Amino acid sequence: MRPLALAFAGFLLNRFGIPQENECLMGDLVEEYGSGRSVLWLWHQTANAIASRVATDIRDHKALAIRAVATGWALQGGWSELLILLHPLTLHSLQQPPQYERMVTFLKLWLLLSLCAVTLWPVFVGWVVGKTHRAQQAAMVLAYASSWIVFSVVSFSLDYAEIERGPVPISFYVGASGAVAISTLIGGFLQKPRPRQSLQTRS
Amino acid sequence: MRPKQTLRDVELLVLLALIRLAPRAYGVPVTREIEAAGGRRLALGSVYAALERLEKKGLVKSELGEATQERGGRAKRYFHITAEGLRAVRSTRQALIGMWQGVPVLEGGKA
Repeated sequence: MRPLALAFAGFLLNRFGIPQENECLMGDLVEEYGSGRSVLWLWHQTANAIASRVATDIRDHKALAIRAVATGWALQGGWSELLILLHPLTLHSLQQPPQYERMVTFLKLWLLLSLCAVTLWPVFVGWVVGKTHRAQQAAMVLAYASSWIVFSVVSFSLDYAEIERGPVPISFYVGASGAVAISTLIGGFLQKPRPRQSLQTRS
Repeated sequence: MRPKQTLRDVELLVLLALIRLAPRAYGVPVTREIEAAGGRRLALGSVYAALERLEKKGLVKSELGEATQERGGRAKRYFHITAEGLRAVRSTRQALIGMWQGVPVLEGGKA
């Protein structure tokens, strides 16, 4: 369990941080963990290191963070626009006979697009955001995903009364928003971050 | 005249720990020193984040040390305070002393 926990902590640090800087931090974690620290301590240290790295990257690269959020929203908005464009076409199709077959086709298309909207497309959006900001990948992907979560919470709060009265259960909205956020994170971390050079380190 | 560096509280604690531990200061002892002498429990990630900021400001320098078995074959990264770092610590100390003086509620341990 102990070597496994260390290996997983190392994986997370390399995925979310700067690999060459994490070598020293990882060495410190191994040293302390080997001297009897708990697994809880290890996770606390790992989470703190990742949070510190993300906060530092966003603070030091505000323009990049804005670009990452804008990139994500442009792609996400583009997808929404496509759905809106398709909507009149499908409605028009429904009004043509034979209506039952059209309805079945419409439902199939709607289900497929909905599935793509909450899974595949956000994976692509996250991938693009991560790909275009590889040096600060974790921070930029998290910045965009966080903006999505904030947007979802705000829009959900504003429309809560209407959603409650509507035919779709609340759990659907919560699940769909969560799926989008998770898919975005998965897409964002599909590729390894680009290595960065530390400033004044001498070997 | 160069503008004085301003230090955050964690940065000041880290710089003081580097001075106390010189010349063998790296992540683990710095964290322990701050906890033992300063009474603050800081995570290693926070200490490294502060050290990185200080290095960017030119207040500390670092070098890679030896790799050891107890660290899984990973090298230590030793940090040293620079002359500019020392000036920043002195300047912060002066500022704090200046703010401390003449405030009756802070003098003589009376609250």
